[in-house]
Amino acid sequence: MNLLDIFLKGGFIMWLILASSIVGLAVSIDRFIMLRKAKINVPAFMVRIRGFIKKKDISGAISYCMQEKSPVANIVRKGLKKYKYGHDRVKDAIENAGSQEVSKLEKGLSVLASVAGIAPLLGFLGTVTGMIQAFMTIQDLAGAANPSDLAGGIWEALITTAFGLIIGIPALALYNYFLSAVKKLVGEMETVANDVIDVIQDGGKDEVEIDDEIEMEL
Amino acid sequence: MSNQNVTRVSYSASVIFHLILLILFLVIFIPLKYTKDNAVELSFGILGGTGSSGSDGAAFDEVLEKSEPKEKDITKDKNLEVKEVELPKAKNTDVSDVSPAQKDKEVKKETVKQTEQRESNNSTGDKKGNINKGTGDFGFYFEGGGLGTRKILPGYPLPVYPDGVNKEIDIRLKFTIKPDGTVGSIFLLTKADTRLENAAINSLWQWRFEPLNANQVQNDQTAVIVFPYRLQ
Repeated sequence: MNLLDIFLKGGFIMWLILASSIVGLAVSIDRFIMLRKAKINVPAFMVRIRGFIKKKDISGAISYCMQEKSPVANIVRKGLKKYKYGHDRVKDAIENAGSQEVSKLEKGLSVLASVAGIAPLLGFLGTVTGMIQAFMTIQDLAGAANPSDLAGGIWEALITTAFGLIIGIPALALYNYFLSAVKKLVGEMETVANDVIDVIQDGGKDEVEIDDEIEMEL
Repeated sequence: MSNQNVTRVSYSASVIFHLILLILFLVIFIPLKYTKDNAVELSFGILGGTGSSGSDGAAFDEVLEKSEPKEKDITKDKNLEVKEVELPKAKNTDVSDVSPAQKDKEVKKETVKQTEQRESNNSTGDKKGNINKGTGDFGFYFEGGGLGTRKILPGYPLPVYPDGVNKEIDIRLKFTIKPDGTVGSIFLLTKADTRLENAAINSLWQWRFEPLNANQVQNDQTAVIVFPYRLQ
């Protein structure tokens, strides 16, 4: 008996579990690629951005952010676009962009969580229905069911649970992994956003201080 | 690569992966069904049991399956009417080489015994009640060594009724089956004529059982066999 026969013995529920597995794996691959793309070297990025802002080269900073194409660079870019409208507008823009990027990063994770929960439940459903069938068979045989009748029905029923768990356990592990990765990324985004806002604020103060000094010299 | 493209690629990869997995399923073979090559299967507490889990305690019971169990001989404890459980029929394997008795003057009647008395009396010391003495039954029960089945490999000899003996008796032998399937030690439980005992012991020595799988606990299993000698 090959594994495909065993798979088919599980019945209709097995196909649902297979579908949930396909969706789960697709979401996992999708999130994996997205998170790989989202990763950047934050300290190096910040050094460059600080340099641009201190030189007041905002367009250079924006173009650098466009090259990076990560969520961190995106929120900084959106904030810098509002540079001329003042510090508060920059802060608002960064917050908005941040929430957008977070929702983009978390996209599909709820699906993965659902797969992690639903696949084992589908398995249990298959087992329960299989058990019902097995016991109905035993009743039909009016107690003359031999052990192979009992065992046959029961192991076939248990296949769905096994496959459900095989799908559910990695899905849950991947969900938690992606969730922690997104959390880490959000943390980085917050750090960068705060840093950029501080630099912009400091830049403004420097201007003022320099102006004061010039006036005093004069 | 845009987000939509990534999603598309992910779904395609997932579908392809699952298709490959299903193809691999075709190749991966799991030996769930054992070939029943003309062998008799011995059960350790499963076949012929009461069908209720946990009631047996340490009393692992018989069964040797042979020919057709035309009539189930059920010994019921009348004191305990609660235990009127309809027993499942024992599974049969077709055995063509079972009856040398037809050539000699040996026992032909080989029925499966359903010993239910054990169920109502869990004491293992009372095992003798499990075998209906003098009824010409050829049966097994197992006293320990775990659950499972052990097949007797084909070509096992049944004892030949020795010449010059004029006795009808059930010889009960307790023996151990080693993990490799050979018979370990044999103890005589019923004293009878030496020639009958020897015939039974000699034939039992030649029996070979299916070896235990590598993933099973490699313990000796103990069984009790009854050779009913009958005159014809």
